[in-house]
Amino acid sequence: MHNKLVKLIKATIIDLIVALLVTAFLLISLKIFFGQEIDLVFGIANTISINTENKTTKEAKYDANANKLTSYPEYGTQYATIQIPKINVDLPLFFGDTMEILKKGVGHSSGSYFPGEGGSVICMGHNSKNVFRRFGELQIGDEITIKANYGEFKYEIYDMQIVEETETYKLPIQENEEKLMVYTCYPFNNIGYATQRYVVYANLVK
Amino acid sequence: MKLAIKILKAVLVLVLTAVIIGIVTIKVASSTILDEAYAHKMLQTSKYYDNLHEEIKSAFENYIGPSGIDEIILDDVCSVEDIQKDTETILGNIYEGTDKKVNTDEIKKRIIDKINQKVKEQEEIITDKMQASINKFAETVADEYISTISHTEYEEKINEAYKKITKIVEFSQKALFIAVAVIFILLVALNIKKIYYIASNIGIALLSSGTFITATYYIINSKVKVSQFKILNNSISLVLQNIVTDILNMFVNIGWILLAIGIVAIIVGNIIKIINTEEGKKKERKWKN
Repeated sequence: MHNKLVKLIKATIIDLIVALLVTAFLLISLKIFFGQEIDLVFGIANTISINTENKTTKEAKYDANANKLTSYPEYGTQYATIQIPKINVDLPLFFGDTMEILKKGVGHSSGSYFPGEGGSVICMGHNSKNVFRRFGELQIGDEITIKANYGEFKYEIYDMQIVEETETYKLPIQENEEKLMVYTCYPFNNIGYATQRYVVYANLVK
Repeated sequence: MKLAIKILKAVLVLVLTAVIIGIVTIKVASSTILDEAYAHKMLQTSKYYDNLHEEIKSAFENYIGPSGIDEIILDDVCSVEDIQKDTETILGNIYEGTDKKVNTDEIKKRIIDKINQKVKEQEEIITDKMQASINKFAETVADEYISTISHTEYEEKINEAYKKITKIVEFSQKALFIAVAVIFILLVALNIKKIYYIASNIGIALLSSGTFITATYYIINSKVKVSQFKILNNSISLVLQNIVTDILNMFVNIGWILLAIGIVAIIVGNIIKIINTEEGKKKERKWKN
């Protein structure tokens, strides 16, 4: 009986080893013949696998001597607040200008400079009641303040214009002088799709 | 000659292993992503329609800001039932090969009627220009609805891919079952004198395929984080995560079952082999005596 058991165990172990060798052979063959395709599939899978854990938000850092940011905020994050006391506006200012950002507050065009960098700063917001519904009440001389985590910047309005949405040249990006341009959709009481923008132009005063 | 037979048996076992893996893959695919009822079930269990309803409402809100319209105008312009009905239309296009379009006339009409009603309540006159602007707004919002529901840029590609895959699966299924039959016949022929050997051969094939499937599951899990998949929108991402997890779990469960059956078949085969060998030896001793 003991002999039979030993024979059984030996025979079974041999068969198990054979099975593992077959498995290893198949896995290696798959890797050799389809390795590129397998890597491509894993690559695609990892592209759509987004890790949102332990994500730290980059903060903006400013070098006042160079008039330049040394570290820019992450796209889509709030880096400042924008205050317009005349029309009771005190809203978060986000880096970026997507629809999702404009739902949360005021957007900062990623193609323009940051406050303090000495160039054109372009911001935009909806003309909804929570954002810029009272934009039309602004006048020359009114103040706009941007309080960033790296400093506070005061601007004074010197002009207002109504522009077509395609007339982007009326919001020029330049690096010689710090100018703030803030715009919203126009007409303010438009119902439906607005094709014009109401732009206020302001100079940096402090 | 004996060596040649052993090599042939080994090759047959190898091929049988590959065939079993192929059959399992096709069966899992046919009962999951290639099955319309499964798709409906996963959409329900992932609460796809409710989640998508929230996403659509959020997408609509993007149009409120610049429109000058109150937020409540776009409340209830589309319901969860509307989304379910339209999603079923899209699934029908994929799985049944129909070519129906999602109809947004009802949504557009609801938006236009609500805006016109609001304007009248404010005792304003709706000019032709204003009505054109309102109609354009309703159309834009309806396009956003279709874009969020169906992601039309991918619909055609998915339809074509599904047709190709089902053809390949149908052909492969027939080919694999024929292969199993042929291999089984050959194994019987090669083991005709000691038919009980076939149990070990089949056991090895089952164990190998079970081990292969289980190893593949753990390799995939180590290289890919399914729970972090994000495509198109959160609703679709959640459904995709649940489907992939379900398929992988199905695979590994089948793998463990094949592994267990393989081990049992090997042990049973070896027991029968030993018993028959002992009996053969006893008969020999009797003859000699």
